[in-house]
Amino acid sequence: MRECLRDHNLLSVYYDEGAVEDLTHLETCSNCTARYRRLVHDLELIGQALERLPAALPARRQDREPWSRRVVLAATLAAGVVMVTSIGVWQWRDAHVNVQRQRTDDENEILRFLADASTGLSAGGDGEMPMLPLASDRADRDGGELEGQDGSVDDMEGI
Amino acid sequence: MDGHRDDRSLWRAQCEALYREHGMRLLRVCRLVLRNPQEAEDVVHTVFLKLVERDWRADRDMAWGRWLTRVAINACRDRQRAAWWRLWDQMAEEVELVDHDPTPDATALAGETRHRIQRAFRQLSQRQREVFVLRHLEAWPTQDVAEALGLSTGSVKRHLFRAIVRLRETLGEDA
Repeated sequence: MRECLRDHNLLSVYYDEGAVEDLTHLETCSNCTARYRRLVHDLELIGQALERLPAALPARRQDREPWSRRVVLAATLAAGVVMVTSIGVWQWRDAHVNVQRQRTDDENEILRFLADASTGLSAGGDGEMPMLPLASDRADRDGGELEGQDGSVDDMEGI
Repeated sequence: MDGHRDDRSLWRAQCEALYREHGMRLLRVCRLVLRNPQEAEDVVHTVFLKLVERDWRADRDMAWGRWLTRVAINACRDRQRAAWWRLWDQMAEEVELVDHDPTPDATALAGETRHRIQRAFRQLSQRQREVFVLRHLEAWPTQDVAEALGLSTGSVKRHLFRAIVRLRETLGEDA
């Protein structure tokens, strides 16, 4: 006995395009007959579902909420553009501010350096000479008088 | 001159008769292929405008029903070729197809099953929809479908088979 028909063979039979041997087999095979009846039944249901369409626009369209998927999609795209633009503006501003802050930090560092140097340079403001000791310093330490302190020329020469 | 005017009037009357006879059928075909009711109506109007403008004297023996369907299918494909249409169609919301005057046969088919079938049909490829509409709903011979769509008969059968398998799978959910 010939093996059962495949689905596309049954479909060909349905559309009057089946081979003669397929028709003969269908008459003798209960399994294929049952499958063919199921195919006919399914195609009838499908045809009913698709053939009966309303004459005008569907009634539900009038009741449909105005926020259709297209409107939501358009609004989402617009919001995305605004967000991207805002992020770009924010990043630009942030980069601009960072540049200025960096300059301030540099300037502060320079200012600190100058202050330290100034402090070092101005450390003798109270009469003390930080680096090389002078004769007067030695005289003070020894408790003696400087030569020529009485105003003699020799004093002058001693200087 | 009067004779020509009479011929034009006669032709317009014939066009009106063809519209009454085939208008709803073409609207259904276009809605199934395009999945968009407004576009389908536009296509049907365009098709009948072409009919009115046609030189009827050269086609006295034309099978107008078949001609109208072929022109409608071509017009639908022209619309779908546009890039903007492809993008817009992908975002199109699903339109619930409501039967205003259900017949007894229609009521026998459960609403949920009908919606499932219609939804599955909308998800078929454009070619599968066209082939199914012409071969199964319009009962065109396979050869005519192949000529209208520029396909081989083998391709028509393959598209039809795949469409029916997909649609039958929705019915299988009831089992």
